[in-house]
Amino acid sequence: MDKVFIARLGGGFRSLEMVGGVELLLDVPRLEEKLIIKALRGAGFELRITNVKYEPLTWDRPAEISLVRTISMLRAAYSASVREASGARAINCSKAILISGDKILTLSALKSSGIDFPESVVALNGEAAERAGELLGYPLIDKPPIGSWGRLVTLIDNPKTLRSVIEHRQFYQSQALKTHILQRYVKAGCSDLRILVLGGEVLGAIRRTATNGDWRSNVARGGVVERAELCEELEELAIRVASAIGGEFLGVDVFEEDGRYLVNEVNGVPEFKGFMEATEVDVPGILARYLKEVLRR
Amino acid sequence: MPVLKCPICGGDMEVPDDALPGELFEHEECGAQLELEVDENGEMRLKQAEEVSEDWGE
Repeated sequence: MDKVFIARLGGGFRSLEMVGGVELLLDVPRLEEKLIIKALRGAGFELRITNVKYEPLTWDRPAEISLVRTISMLRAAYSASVREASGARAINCSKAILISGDKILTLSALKSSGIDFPESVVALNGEAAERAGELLGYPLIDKPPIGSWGRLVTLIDNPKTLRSVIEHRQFYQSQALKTHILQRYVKAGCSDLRILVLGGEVLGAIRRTATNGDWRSNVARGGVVERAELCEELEELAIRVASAIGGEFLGVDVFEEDGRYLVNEVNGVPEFKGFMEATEVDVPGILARYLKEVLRR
Repeated sequence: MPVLKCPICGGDMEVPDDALPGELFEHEECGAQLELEVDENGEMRLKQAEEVSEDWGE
């Protein structure tokens, strides 16, 4: 059992002692975080585990590197931001987490770097979303700018269904969930490629294919995974995407349609259990070696 | 493996030895989503997990 670091002592906040090594910031530990802990300890790191749900964040530097692995995108961005300001190297940095965590910011960053993605329109309210449907035609995909695991991502065949989706989304309190990204439906056989990038290098790729009648290929939705071959073009694309987002450890999701690659989404705190199963690549081990290299520099 | 009480149904629930604070578990008997909490003295208990938020994911 890992004992949680308690920052509050005697009614005040203790200034965190600056030490070397790595801090792992998390909120809801998943299998990935447990594998990372095992790998970092096995590699001899001085490891501090900070659960941001229980521990306040101060602007003192608890470690040279802060590896940000929270399940909440905003918690990740805020944690990274505080640690960056304290002088630590946050992986990923707050900017990369925010850009990859908001699909509108992602698409804008991709566009600025000349990277192709499915034809998309941003609609900031329901009325604009109806107009966007007229612009794009059907079938189309509707999704909110934030969220993951295929949540609220909808395949829409006609204007009536789009109007229903818009109506449902208007009931959410969150402005982000009232915001729409409408996207041409890509004929990619209900599958996509997930490429993992670390430190400007590609670790490998998997193909995720939807099952059980679903058209979404997310592993969280039951998508099946298999190892995918990487060509030079795909490797270069993934590295360009990582550079456009400004992240060190990213998952890049790509559609393959009629021989061309279209970037769908980028994940700033990538899950990788499905990737490890399909590729047998030791992601936590490689991450540990990468962090050692970063500390040596 | 430590055995803790489910705060929803009161039944027993085993958590793995390597469980971490904040980790989520489903109690098979009642289906509750539970979160492991550890206090300053290292005492463990289960509480009802927070709901999936709009910004959760990867």
